[in-house]
Amino acid sequence: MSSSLQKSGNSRELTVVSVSHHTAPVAVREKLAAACEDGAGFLARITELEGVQEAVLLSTCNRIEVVACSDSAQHASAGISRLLLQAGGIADEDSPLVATMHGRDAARHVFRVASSLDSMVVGEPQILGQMKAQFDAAATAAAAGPVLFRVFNKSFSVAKRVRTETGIASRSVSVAGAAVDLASHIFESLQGRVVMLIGAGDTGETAARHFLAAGIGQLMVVNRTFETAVELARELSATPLPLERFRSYLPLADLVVGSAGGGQLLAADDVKAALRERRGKPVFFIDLAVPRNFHPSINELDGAYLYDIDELVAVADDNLGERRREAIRAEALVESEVEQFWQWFEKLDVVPTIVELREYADTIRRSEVEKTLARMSSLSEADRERIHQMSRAIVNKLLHHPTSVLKEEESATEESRLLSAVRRLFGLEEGR
Amino acid sequence: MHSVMLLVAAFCYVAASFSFSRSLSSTEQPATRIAPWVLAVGFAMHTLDLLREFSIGGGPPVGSFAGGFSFFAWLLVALYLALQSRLPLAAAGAIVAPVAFIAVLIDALQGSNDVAIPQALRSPWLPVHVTLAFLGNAVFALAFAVSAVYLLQENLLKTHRSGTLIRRLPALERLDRLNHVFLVWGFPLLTLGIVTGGVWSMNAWGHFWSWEPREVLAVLTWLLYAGLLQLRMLGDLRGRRAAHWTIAAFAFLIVSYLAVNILGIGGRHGLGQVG
Repeated sequence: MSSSLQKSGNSRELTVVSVSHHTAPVAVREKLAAACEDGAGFLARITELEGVQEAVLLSTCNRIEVVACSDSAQHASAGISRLLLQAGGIADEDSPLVATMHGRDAARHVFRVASSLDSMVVGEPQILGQMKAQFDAAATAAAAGPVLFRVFNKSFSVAKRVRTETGIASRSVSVAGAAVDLASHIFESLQGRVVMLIGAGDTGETAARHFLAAGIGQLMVVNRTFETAVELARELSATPLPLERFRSYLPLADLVVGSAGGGQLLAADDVKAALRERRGKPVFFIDLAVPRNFHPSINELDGAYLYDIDELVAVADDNLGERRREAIRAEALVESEVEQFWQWFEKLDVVPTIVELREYADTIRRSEVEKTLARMSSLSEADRERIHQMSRAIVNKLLHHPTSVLKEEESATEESRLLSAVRRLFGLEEGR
Repeated sequence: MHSVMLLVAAFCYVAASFSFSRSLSSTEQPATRIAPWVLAVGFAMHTLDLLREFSIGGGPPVGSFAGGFSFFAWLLVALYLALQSRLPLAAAGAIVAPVAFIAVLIDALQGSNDVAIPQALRSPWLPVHVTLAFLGNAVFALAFAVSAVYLLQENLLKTHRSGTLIRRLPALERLDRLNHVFLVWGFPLLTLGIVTGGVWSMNAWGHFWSWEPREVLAVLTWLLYAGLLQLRMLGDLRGRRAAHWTIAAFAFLIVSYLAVNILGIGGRHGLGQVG
């Protein structure tokens, strides 16, 4: 999808070669990721391919992708595919494990990946940081240049817009995350809160880690086998408590997480007593256990809020549905950004830039000459024409050198740097 | 005479009402940012209209029920706008803006508010008394608003409903704290409103207190809020119960205001009996 306006010689075509969770099973991705571990080395092999000017390697657990800028998209993608397939130990040349995208589609892909629209869990927040780090690595290795800089920089700002203007990442889709979210609707902040975890198994530990990450002040770990409580408490710098004594500490807890086996541990009366001692300060009960640890009637007490596992799963599911709906809005936003970006990107060619530069200069020339002539009514038609000619000569002489430098530049990297300088210096920057 | 400014204010208030409620249900952000500005434009127009009335009547336009209600709404919006940078409470905005709209609409439909206040009652104490009393009421109206939002949010949490609304409403703890703050601010204003009313009465008739129905209702309101505040400060009343009591106290305040001003049981506070 190369631009029709490109002059012969220096062209810059955008390509993405992708092995991702859409195209390849995890076994292949693993193998590839291991082969690409030496990112700089692999990048060097890509930029050594004929015609490839710039390249960035994206490697996460869901994708191994190369974004490249080259003379010929067809050529470059074939070469890069071959390198990737070799690295992954796949013999088949036309393997369906590799997807390639060119031009505008490639730009859209990069924007979608940065915005986490192409992720396995849509809206997950890690991808943007990974992309930034890997772009920086490519820039440090001098593999990424001004063209990819523009593409990636724009993709980062699009991702930011998607994040702030849509609800794509605003809700947790895990049970523990949903519990933390719900807690923030009861408490102003989780800072300094006391959490009591009953049951030191994996489920409980995951929830506790979520709350610790949200900034709680203190964690108490209760377990039937006290040694297990001590062990987990040491790991999480928490306070271990034996099961026989946890009720006397209940009034201290703002949040109580139940994940212990063996059924009910708290009845409404236990909680009523604790609430009295807390003078009505609210408590959030999160029951992750089956059978349930907390009696459902606790939810009816004033100041007690109880969610069991089914209710939390329902919230998480609902959040996932909401993310999907928001993703549709995000796609539309990305599409309009791609459109804008691509118009601007295509203009970054020599011919249209020179045309625009001349038009710009001629507009100024004409309006200034006409202003002057309006005040010189005594001049003959021939004199007026002479003044016009002189002004044209000045403009042509001023623009002659910059124009020929742009036309004659051999290196694509240098050319695109010059083009963006010219566009900036003369204010031809629209579309940005 | 209908004031164009008042009609523009009414239009802005109704637009702000929709904008605030939309920002509670929509996941898009811009509406949240626009609503306070629309409200502010309405407020500016409302202010100009009040200044016009002030210049005609020589004081706040409280000679009629509509004028008084409009003045109250103006104070309420002023308070909301003053506080909104510190407490971005779109939910309270969704209550304040419609109240302001209704008040301004009644004001505009009723036309002139320049019920002449008799010379005997004109005193610098009149605007002071009226402003303090109405400011107290406006602060209690905010306490009412956050309490109503508290009950809504608590209901959403207790019935395990998820969705956008629950995320747009502030945390329960925050709403409860704001209820406390507004009660603490409203109470001294109410007290000062009653005292300055007495001083005004002293100037006009030579007695501080006359046991007219309005005054008795004011004292009952004062006792109600005093008790509420006392229990809050002792830490015995919070959360849902505090919200219930705050709503009940405000309902009493409104009912007694309406009883005095519309049913006319209010001695010299009542309409058409000014003097």
